[in-house]
Parts: sequence; structure tokens; C-alpha cells
Amino acid sequence: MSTHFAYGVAVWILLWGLYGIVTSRHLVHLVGCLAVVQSSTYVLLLAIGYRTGGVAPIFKDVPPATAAVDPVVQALMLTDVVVQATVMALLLALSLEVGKKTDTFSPDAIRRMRG
Amino acid sequence: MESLAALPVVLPLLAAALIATLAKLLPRRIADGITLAVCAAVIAIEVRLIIGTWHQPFVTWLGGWKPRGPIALGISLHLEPLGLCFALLTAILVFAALVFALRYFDTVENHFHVLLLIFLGALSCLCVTGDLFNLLVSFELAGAVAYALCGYKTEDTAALQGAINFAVSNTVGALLVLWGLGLLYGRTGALNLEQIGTSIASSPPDALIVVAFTLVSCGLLVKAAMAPFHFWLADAHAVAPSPVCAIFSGVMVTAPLLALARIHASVFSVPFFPHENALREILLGFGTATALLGAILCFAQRHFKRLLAFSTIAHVGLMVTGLGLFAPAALGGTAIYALGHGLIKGALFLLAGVMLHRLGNVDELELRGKGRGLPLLGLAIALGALAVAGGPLSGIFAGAAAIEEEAKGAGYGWLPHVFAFTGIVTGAAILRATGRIFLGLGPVSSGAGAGGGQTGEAPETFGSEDRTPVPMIVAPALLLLLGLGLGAVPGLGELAMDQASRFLGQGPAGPPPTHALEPLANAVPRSLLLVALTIALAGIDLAQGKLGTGGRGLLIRVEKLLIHPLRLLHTGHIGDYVAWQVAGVAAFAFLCLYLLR
Repeated sequence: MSTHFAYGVAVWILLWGLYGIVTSRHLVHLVGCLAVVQSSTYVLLLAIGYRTGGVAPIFKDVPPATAAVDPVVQALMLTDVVVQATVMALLLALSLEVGKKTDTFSPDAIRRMRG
Repeated sequence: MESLAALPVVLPLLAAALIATLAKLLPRRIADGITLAVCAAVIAIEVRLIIGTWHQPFVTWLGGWKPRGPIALGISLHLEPLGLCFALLTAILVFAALVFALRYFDTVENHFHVLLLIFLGALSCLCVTGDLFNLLVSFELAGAVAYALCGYKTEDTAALQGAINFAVSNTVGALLVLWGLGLLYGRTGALNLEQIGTSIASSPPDALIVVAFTLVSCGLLVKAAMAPFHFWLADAHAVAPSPVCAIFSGVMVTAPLLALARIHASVFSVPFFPHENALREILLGFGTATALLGAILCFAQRHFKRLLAFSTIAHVGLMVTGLGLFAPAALGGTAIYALGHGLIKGALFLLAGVMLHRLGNVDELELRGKGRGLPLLGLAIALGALAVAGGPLSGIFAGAAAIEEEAKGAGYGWLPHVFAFTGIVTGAAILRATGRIFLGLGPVSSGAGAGGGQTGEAPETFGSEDRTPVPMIVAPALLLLLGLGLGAVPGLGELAMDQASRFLGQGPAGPPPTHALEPLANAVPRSLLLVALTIALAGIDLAQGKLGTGGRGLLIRVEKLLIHPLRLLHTGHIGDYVAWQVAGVAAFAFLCLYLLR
């Protein structure tokens, strides 16, 4: 039951983040919504790896056969945190450039090319 | 070979780290030299690896991890000729872009070299990896670098538009792939492509597998710019610096197709085998829509680089149909098509850079007649246009011939007409632009073919405009020759089909081949017909002023009913693009869930 709830939360966050991107009126807000969409993948991955009653996957004090949560998904999540931090930093820098050039952060300000 | 396997990935990354560390100390020419040497070394290593894996793919495990029983531990590299040819194309394009940039950028710091080297390393990794998450991370790395390269000219607002739209669209695509990957991992506990495939092969696909397939495919097709995920490409490829555009259009949009082919072959081909016809029709439908949309909009552009970007979208649509046929001959044809298209489109973008350097602009209407003093440049672009149209003796021609033959054999006789239409319209658009710029033909205002795209582009070079520096001539000439010569390789179709059937896990087609392709010479008359029709279409559009009122009325009606509504859809607003992506994923998922179970 609790895992179904976690997956439901992940889907909810994904949809809400996508809605935010689609209806955003401020570029920094848009980047924040992109971060929300990313966090939905983190919730999904961690929910997949979770074992009820499992310990942290560090086998220094516990015998090797103890039930532990899956470390692979944690590694996947950390890799993605790093990648997305880079992309978000780049996007925020680009948004700052837009703000400097057009005095506004609206996505409508960067609609120079159409058709 | 074991020692060479990881070098195409590791060498560029090490060189990038070296140049980045010493960025302030290294003079420009030393950085150029290091980067060119690394590219040449990667090309040589990849040729050696292609020769070594021609008859037998080579699998190696990184870090000394070996699989234990049926469980894969660690990351594997799976070297085989199709992927390695793709990596070779990347290295050639990066090499040509660097040669072009030797005299193109005068004020760039060594960041440009670092970014290009990381891009090369990431795409090489993508072409050889056997692990799904490694695939995704290489895509993300290549993408992050690409976003930076796209927005390189930060003083231009259109460049910021292109870069932001590119970054947000592709990041959403990557997250879709990650969702699909998570679902697959949750079901099978594996990230190695072969192991996932073996785990899900035994039972028919349930909703989870279909949804995972949808998410992974749609995420990759966002990066490949298939409709309706294509909006970002027109913005991004129009504003990136010309050598960067050459790499983007040449390799970055077709690499996701390679990844999709590999993932489908390793993971999804067995569970979806009973429903292969349905999946084929879905992919053919989306691919055809992309091709038609890209071709029509390509014709309506006045910004030369945006015109080329839309023609890239159209050709990607054709390549998706080639993939969707799920046959070795078609997959081999798609590979040849991708290689030929990459080389020719790369050459065209570099030539657009030369045009920008000499004439200061890429707007077709503003440049009308100004190119009269540059006959060789016009001739080269015209040659590229005819190759794009499917003219004889290019990689595009050879690949299309193989795909069309397979389509006719499989009962899709309408597909060659789609190829013909797309080739004619995109080639005619480029030819029309050439005629207007270099010969001064055509009306002063665009009339019925009212152009899209921004007018005016800040010149990317600040050097002299009277001469074209030698590197800027050599690079596009080299790419054009390679692209045109690719179709002249004897027996290319059979070679590609052989490798493709090995790629699909069906074993070599065997001597004598069970399915002999028609000799390429049989397709030459049709190809010459396409060339003639392309020239005719370009001529009609340029001669608008001389048509009677009936003809002009027809053109105006075509523009109002067909072109104008499509152009209205491309608003430039990132929210619209992501909305289309969500709608596209929903449509794809609905079709898959309905038809694939």
C-alpha cells in the first residue's frame, strides 16, 4: 500500500511539474518547475529501491545477508542530481542573460523566431 | 582490441580536462593542435575497431567486473560496426568543425575546444555502451554540452531562445527516458540491455512493459526531433554557430535513432514480436507525418539555417520510417542514409557559415543577388541541395534505395512516394535559396512563399570579409566529397544489410545473401527524375512573378491553407512546445497500449 502511494506521489509530481512548465510566465519559475519534474524521477527511483524494514546498504556492522534497500537506484539518483544541477545552472545563467537583454523574464520575450 | 575499446571515450575526455585546466595558459594554436590530434587519433582507433569487429562483435566489461551466471555486474561495452561507424561519423564531423573553426572564431577562449571534446567523448560512449543507464548519462552529458554550445553567442536574443527551448525540451525528454528506465529496472532488476531483454522475453508484454517502451521511445524521439517533439530543433539549429550546427544536424539528431534501434533490438523485439505490424504502422505514421511537416515548412523559410534545420527534421522523419520497417535491409539502408545525411547536412551548414562570413547575413530575401561574386560557393550549395533531394551518387540516395525496396517488398508501396516528395521539396527549397542569393533570380518580396524565421543574424566572424580562409573551404569540401562518394562504394547496401542483421541478432545474411538487393544502378533513373523535379520546383517558385493570375492564385491558396496554419503552430514559446510533447507522448502511449497487447 505504501509503495503504491509513493508511485502515485511520483506521478502527481511529474504531472504538476509539467503543468508548471507549460503555463509558466517567468523563466526562473520555469527552471524551478523543471526541477520539480526531476524530483519526480528521484521519488520513483527511491520508491523502486525501497525495502520495508531494510537497513542502509552499508555492511560494516551488519552481516552481509541482512535485507537492505537497493543501492543501485541511489547511485542512479545521485548521478542524475549531478547532471541536472549542471543543466539547471546553465538554464539559470541563460535566463539571467535574457533578463539583462530584455528587462523581463517572460518566455514571451524570447519569441524572436516564429514560423 | 581490449586495450583500444574504451579509448574513443577516454581520450577526448582526458584532453578536455587538460585543456580546461590550462585554459588560461594555453595559446589558441596549441589548444587547436591538441584537439585536432585527439580527433585524428580517435578516427584512427575507430577505423581499427571497425575492421576488428567486422565479423564478430566484441564485448568487454569495464573495471574488471564480469557477469556472474545470468546476472550482469558492471558496465559492458558492446563494439560492433554499425555503432562504431556512427562514432566515426561523429569524430569526422567534430574534426571538420574544428578545422572550420580554426579561422572562424577569432575571439573564442579555449572553452570551445573543451566543449567539443566532451561532446565527442559522450557520443562515442553512447555508440559503444551496452548499459541502459550509461546510455542515458552519455546523452545527458552530450546534451548539457550541446545546450552550452547552442547558446554560445549570448549577445543574440534568438540564440538564447534557441538554447533555452533546446535545453528545456531535451531535459524533459531525458526525464521521460529515466522514468522508462526506472520502470524497467523495477521489473527486471537489471540495467544491462541484454539482461533486461532476456528477463522480459519469456512472457507477453503487460501494461508496464508497454508504458516503459513508450516512455523510453518518446524520450529518445524528443532528442531525435520527430513530430510532435520537433519544435525545439528549428529554433536551436538556426542560431547555433555554424560549425556547431554541422555537428548537431549531422550526428546529434540521429544518435537517438541508433540508441532506439539498439534498445528495441536488445530489449523489446522479442516481447513485441507478435505485434510487430502494429508497431511498424505506428512508427511509419509518425515518421511520415514528420517528413511531410518538415518538408512543407522547410520550403516556407527565408532564414537559411532555419531552412536547413527543417530539412533535417524532414529527413529524420524518413529515417524513423526506415527504422520502423524492422528489417535488416531497411536498418542497413537507414544507417547509410544517416551517414550520408550527416555528412551532406554538415557540409551545408559549414557552407552557410562561409556565406555568413562573406555576405554578413543568412536571410535569403535580404541577400538577393548579393552572392554573384561567389560562384563556387553557390555551386557547392547547389550540389548539396541535389544530394539532399536524392540525386545519384550520395549516401542519401543509396540508403533511400535500400529502404524503399524493403518497403515495397513489405507492402508499403506509398513510402517511396513520401521519400520522393520530401527529397524534392527540401532540395528545391535549398536550390531556390541558392538561385535567389547567387543568381539574383526570383521576386524581391517572397510573395506566396512568405518566409519564416528571424531576419538578420549577427555575423559570427569579425575577420575580413573579402577572402574565405583556407580551412573554411577545406572542411565543407571534405564533408561534401565524403557524403557524395558514400553512394559510390560498391556493394554498400549488402554490407550494411549484413551488419544490420547481425545487429538485430539474426546472424549474418550469409553468403550468398538470402535476400539480394537490387543493383543500385537500377535506381539511378528515378533519382535523376527526382533531380529534374527538384530543379523544376525551385524554378517555379523563383518564377512566381511570371506566372499568370491563375498560377499565382493557386500558390497563394496553398500558402493560406497549408503553410500558414503550420507556421502558426511554431510559436517560439517553450510552454507550447512542452504541451505538444505531453500530447505526443499521450498519443503514442494510447496507440501502443491499444495495439500492442
